[in-house]
Amino acid sequence: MKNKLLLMPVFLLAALSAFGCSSNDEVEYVLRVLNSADYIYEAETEEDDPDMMDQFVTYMEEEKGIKVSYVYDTFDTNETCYNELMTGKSSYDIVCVSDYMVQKMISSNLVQPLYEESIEEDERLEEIYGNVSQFLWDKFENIHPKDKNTNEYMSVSIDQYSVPYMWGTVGVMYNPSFYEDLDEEDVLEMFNSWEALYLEETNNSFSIKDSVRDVYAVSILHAYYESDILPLEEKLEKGEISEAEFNAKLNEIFNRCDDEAIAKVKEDMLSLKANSFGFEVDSGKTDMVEGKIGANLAWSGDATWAIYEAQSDYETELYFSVPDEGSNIWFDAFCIPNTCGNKDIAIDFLNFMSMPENAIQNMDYVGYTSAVAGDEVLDYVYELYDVRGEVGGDPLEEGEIYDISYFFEDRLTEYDISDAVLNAWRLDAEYVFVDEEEESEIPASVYARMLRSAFPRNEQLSHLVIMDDYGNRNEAVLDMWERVRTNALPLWAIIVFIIEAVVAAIVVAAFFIIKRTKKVLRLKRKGLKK
Amino acid sequence: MKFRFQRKYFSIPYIIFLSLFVVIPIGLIIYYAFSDSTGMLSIEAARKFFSDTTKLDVILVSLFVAIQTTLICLLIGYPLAYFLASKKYNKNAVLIMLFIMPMWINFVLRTTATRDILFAINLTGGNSPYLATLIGMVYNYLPFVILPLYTTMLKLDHSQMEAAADLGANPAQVFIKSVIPQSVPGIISAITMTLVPVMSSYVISDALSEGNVTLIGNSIYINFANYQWNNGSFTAFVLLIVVLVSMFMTRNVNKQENARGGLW
Repeated sequence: MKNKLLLMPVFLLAALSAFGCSSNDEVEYVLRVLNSADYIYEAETEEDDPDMMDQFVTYMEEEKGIKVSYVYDTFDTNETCYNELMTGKSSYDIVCVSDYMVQKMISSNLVQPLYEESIEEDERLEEIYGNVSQFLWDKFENIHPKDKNTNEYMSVSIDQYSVPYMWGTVGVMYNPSFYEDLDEEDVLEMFNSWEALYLEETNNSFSIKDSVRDVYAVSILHAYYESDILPLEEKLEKGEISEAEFNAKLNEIFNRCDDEAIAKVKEDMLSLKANSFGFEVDSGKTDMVEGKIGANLAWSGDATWAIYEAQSDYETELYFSVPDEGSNIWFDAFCIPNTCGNKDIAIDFLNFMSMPENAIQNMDYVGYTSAVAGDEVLDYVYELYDVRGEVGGDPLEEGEIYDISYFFEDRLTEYDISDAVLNAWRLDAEYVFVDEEEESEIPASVYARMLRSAFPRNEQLSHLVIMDDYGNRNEAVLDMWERVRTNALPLWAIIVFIIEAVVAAIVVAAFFIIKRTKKVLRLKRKGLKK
Repeated sequence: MKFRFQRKYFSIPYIIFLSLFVVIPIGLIIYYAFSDSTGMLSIEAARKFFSDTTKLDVILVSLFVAIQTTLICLLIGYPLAYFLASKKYNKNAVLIMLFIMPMWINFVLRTTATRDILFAINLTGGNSPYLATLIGMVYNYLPFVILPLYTTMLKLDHSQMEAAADLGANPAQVFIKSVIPQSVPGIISAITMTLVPVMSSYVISDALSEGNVTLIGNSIYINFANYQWNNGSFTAFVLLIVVLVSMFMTRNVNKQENARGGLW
């Protein structure tokens, strides 16, 4: 006891001195970053490279001679981040949000442009621009924020305000062995369409995200497939419209949110909900890994992670598919809020994060696909997903063509763009990798499945569309969503309710009647005595 | 002038606490409930609340779950508290400890574990959302029912019960006429500890019903998560009124029963 008491001041001193360190006078700037949870590289053991944020501090000190420290906070949904900036209760230098939220933040005037006139005024910006895939910049140039009052698109686009960090698609992650009654091939075929989530076969076996935008994406594509999308596809097949035109038209359908569309989506969502197992906030991927559910509406990055985990922990084969009708392609990007105290350091940070080696480390840790393209990234992709393991060499028989050159366009220096056509592992590959350190065996087919989730197929690009912020239709969409999420009390519950009410009424009535009769009796007895 | 310490200065920390964590938040809720997104006074949120059936359904479902939870908890907790407080079992506090021990474990953890167990017996939110939610709720709120009942039962006037028995009442009559009336304060505190908290909880119902049972708490969360502050605040305001009404009612009952002083 005495010893402990003696130690107390020592601990206090230690704590105080630790506190003193962080508010060191020498630190020139404290960079405040707000990002999604688990969305950046962090060291797991002491032998690993230090956390990405610590690496940034070292980088700044060694390369720029500036002593910085950082505050790194996380949020759970984009809306939380928006609330955080909107209420102004805390100010940040960097936030990382999804494409639609960048739109919303620009229309709410919460973030500032990266540059005044052109990106050439700052060579760091040029560097960032050169590192991030041209494919993403092209998409970003076409995403315009909506004016807050008129709901019209503004002339600026989000590439002037943000730098892509990660990107991916929305699709279905599924576990063929969960559907025992069906052939594996039939299951694979079934999940190539959103229709799978509406079928009797999948009843009560899959969960959907408790997020209006992801479910809206599914429902609008499903609800308008036969009436609007199918004719377009026929035209595309006949060559009457180009892929770009098709994509633009699909985009228009995908972003419908007028009253008619909302009513249609609502009907569709209700049948989707009735067929589903339930809504999940973040239990979906672990439920999939543990085999609790058969399918899950998932983001590609989560699927990449889950496919590997399920294989290494449970030897379960999970698949990810982006259905043929089309799907949502999304991007997470860094932007600089108006509250930023030092834009110079903020841009240094963006530059640091877009360096290929850091991007690869983040991608490897987080499981999502980084926005950075380049020779090093292609090396990394080859190492994981290509039969040959490194760039070059003749295609092998075990592999199949998987074209992801769209992503590396204009970004390869040493390699040729034709190298970005992978000779990827087949889904039925039989080769097995042996990890001697962990004494585990990982079949190559895992990497085949991971690749299909990390990079969408080239042929699918025309079917991938971006979902805009709902703008001033937000409230109408949310009202619909709340309606969908709410259940009316089922009949049996109403009956239980009524029975309880009747019983309660009888008890209360009996109580009063007994009380009254007793009173009467007592009065009578008194009367008799008299 | 010399500073003189007065006894009323002791209240200062409490006044600060109350205004910071009770009065100001409630003021903010009321402000947001009766204003629109531009901050102007408006009854738009109220109009919306009463104009469609969504909120009515939410309230009905919440009431249903809350009342069932309270009833089941009382049915399990009342006899249990009675026996635990009786001379035979009340030799040491170990037994009662065992029953309220789950309260010491973080409830998110408990709920996750409950979910795994329910999955193992194939009773999931997918196939029976109400049952799964009720099981989770009862498990979580049972200690809050047992504890106040137990403390009331400890204070039961045994001489009254013995007198009743001596005067010819059979055990059932003793129980109904002596034990139950004496334990009313405990029952009241047990009800206040479960009814309203169940209605406003959302983690348990979300996790165990897989989002298939939406309580008022869930509804408020959906609104706030999507920056519909005014609508969310109005729902919170309605819940606040429910709390006030139920407190008012329990106070009246307590008065009638000339309060023997419950635990809370």
